[in-house]
Amino acid sequence: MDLNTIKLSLGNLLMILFFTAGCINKTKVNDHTDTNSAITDTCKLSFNKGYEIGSNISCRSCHAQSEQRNALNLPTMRELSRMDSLKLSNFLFITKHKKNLDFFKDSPISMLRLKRIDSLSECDRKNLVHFIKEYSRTHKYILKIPNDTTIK
Amino acid sequence: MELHSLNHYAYKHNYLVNFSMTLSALIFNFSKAQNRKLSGGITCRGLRIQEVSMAGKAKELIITGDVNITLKVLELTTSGAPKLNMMMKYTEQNIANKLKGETMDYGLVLSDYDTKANKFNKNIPAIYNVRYKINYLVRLEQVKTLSQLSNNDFVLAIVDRIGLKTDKYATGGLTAHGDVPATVTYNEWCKYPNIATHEFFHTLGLPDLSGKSNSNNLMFEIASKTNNLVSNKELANMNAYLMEDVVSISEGNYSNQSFNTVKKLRNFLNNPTNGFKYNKAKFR
Repeated sequence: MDLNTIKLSLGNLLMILFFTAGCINKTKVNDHTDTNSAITDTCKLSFNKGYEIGSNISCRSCHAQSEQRNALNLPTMRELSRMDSLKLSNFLFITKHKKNLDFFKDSPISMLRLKRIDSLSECDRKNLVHFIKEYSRTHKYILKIPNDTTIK
Repeated sequence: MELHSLNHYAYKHNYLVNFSMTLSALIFNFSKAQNRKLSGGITCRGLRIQEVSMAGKAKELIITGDVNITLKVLELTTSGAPKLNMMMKYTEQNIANKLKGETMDYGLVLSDYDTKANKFNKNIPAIYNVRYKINYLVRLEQVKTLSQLSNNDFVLAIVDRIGLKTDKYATGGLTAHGDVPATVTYNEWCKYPNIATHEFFHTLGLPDLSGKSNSNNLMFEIASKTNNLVSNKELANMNAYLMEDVVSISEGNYSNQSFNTVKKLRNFLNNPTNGFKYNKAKFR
């Protein structure tokens, strides 16, 4: 009887240990998955990359770089840069541009640009928003001097 | 000889430094007496515009003429700049050479161009392809005091040292994107003559370039004595910046709008994060 009780207790103990180990392993696997997803979800924001995307789409054809608006009365680049980033990314690419489709319908290149904006990848979109936001933050360019002539 | 002809003559023969400087002073005094404004980074007197329409193709505008670009140089070094005139002359020619060439801008939102009246109707928007055939007359002019700077001037400040850096490299120039002023350190400018052009082109909206494939480009992020190439795309972007207000430019005598140059220069040089070292006695 005692022996059976000991056997049962040991069995229970083993079962508990087995489940506990299983849970620990599962937690570890979950942690690992989270780490992986964090690593793969990196989109390095770069002003120059954003400039390149904006230059290819040619934002400046419609949105003036200076303070003066054009005849279509579209917001300037600086006015766009003062908008909230979330608002920019949510509305700039789709809703706001659709308002002007009638005006642009006879200009194939303008239509192509609008389509290009909507087909940007998530990372390119983030970089473009970053570039637009930097317009009002006066992004600084540092010209580097090669090491052999570095001033001490 | 009319005033603008004199001015034009001075630009065309800018290798005669002393003569053109004397002539500039004469023109300046003459204009002052007539209350005629000549200052500004971008000035011009009437461009020629031609509209070309072809069946099935987008309307095209061809813009031709002379546009003056003046970059004012404020020397703020502690121990003087003996090679300043030579460096300015080199940079003047380099900027002019890099801005040469025809470019095309597609699908630009402008105002409707009335060919009969030969002017834009500012209230009616229209889309054009624009071909720029502009002859840029570049001039670097040394100024000794802030009072010689107007708020619509481009400016290049020559300093002793720039402390701001992001890595092991020292800094030879610092400029904000599409903004005035541009700055270079005197010693590095003498070693790398192209860096003043590089910094001024940031004012005209060009970004830095990185990567080995761009190492021969003028806008490469690390200074070199040999990198001096400008791509057609970069030229097109600079043309677009300089000619952005083409509707106003086409109306006759044109000076660009205010950049708020003096205030921006003061703030930029005195911003402690930029770490500028310069002769404050000269900044007056």
